[in-house]
Amino acid sequence: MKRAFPILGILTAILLSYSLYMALVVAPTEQTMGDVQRIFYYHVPSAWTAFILFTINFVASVVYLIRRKQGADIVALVSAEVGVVFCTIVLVTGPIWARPVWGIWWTWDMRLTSTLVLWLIYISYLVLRRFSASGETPLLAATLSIFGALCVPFVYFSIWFFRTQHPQPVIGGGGSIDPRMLHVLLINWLAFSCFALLICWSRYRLEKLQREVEQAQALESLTQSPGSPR
Amino acid sequence: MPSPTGITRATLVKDLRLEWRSKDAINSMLFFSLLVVVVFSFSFDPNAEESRQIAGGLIWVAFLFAAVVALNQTWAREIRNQVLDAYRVSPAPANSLFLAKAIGNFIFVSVLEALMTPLFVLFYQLRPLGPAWQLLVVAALGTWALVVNGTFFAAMSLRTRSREIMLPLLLFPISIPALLAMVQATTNILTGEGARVWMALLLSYDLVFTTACLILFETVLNAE
Amino acid sequence: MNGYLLAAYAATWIIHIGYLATLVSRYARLKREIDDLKKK
Repeated sequence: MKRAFPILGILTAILLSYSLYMALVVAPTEQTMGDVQRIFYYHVPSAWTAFILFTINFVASVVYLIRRKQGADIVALVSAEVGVVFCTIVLVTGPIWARPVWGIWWTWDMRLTSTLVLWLIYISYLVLRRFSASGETPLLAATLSIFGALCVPFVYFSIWFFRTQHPQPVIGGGGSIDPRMLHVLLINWLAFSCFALLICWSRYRLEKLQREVEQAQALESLTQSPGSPR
Repeated sequence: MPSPTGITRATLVKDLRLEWRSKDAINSMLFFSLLVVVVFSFSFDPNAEESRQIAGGLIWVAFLFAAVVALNQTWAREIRNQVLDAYRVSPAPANSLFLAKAIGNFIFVSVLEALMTPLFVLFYQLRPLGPAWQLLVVAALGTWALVVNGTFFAAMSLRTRSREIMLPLLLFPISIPALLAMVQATTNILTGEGARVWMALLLSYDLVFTTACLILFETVLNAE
Repeated sequence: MNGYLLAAYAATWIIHIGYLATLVSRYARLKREIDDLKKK
């Protein structure tokens, strides 16, 4: 198991380099948008990865509520944090793409807006984790995760319906995709998924170690307290 | 042991009685409502044509503000008198306490809204082009959406640092679909367009989240 | 290469590297704490 980590690391590095090359050089240039469209190969895989991570957070939270296992809580924390990182990338690359194509930085685009709301919900999740009293953090966080998950269908429907009433530009274009572009997209998604796995694994180990250290510190301060028998 | 609804009603009546006794509360609520509307009128000129179009949004931002003020003190009395610990060890179902608090908040915020609405109508010369009774439905559904989640998150924030900012921080993102629905429904009714879909959205939002709060409140109350 | 394209790709990697940097610094701090504990 220990050797799997560096192997995954090397594999990820190779995949990321290859997919970058594919995105910048191999992928055909889009007709209307030109080279800027290549942002697509970073924007979309980041979105998919973020949503997968948030789903993992939801599942881990439910598992924690039922089983109360620390491992599930750590998975929830890790997937939320890394999910927010990828989500931030979606929200940054989206406007950068929108500006040259549509002339505006932001629009109530379906994907972008729902990503923004999801990002806000998960930022509040991370803040809750940071600020709550440590004994109750896992339970409260798990509860909030469930509320967030329940909110998702409402987010999508409300934005969709709002757009039918107030038509807005669509970023990233709908419709069918050139199979060569799809291929490059999937390669990039694979690369970023491996990268996400790598980051999550590292973060998991870090968190586990941190909790063990905190426990050891707490134990140590208890046995060191004045008045305790030597 | 009294029934769960009995406990809810008893807790609710106790809370209302405690609030009603202090006349200060009523007077401050009146003044607060006036202040909010005046500040909004200075910020968003009522005479500008655009303001009448965004009045729906303005009103709900004001209501949201009022809701946060009300929600922040939801559990203040309980914390002061260590009532929550007593609740944890008693056989009374946690739901009853939650429901009582939520309904109490709903009444409190509704009173504030009832005070603010005539002032808004006055300042912004609002005349609903659609059926006015629908505005009441939207107000009720929207207020409940904010209050039910707000009461729940207020309980979650009890032992967090920066409790007062934690509540809006948790409440606002989750409430976004409901807020969108409230504002759109109100605006549509004012301009005479259909608000059915938005009202249906609010109703289902209320049902889903009320259920979630009722199921999960016990967990939050006993989290340690 | 298009300026916006470069900005988007650069932003992506800056954010990723930024996050990894926080992980590394947290790990370094943890290592120090472990050494402290071991000494006692």
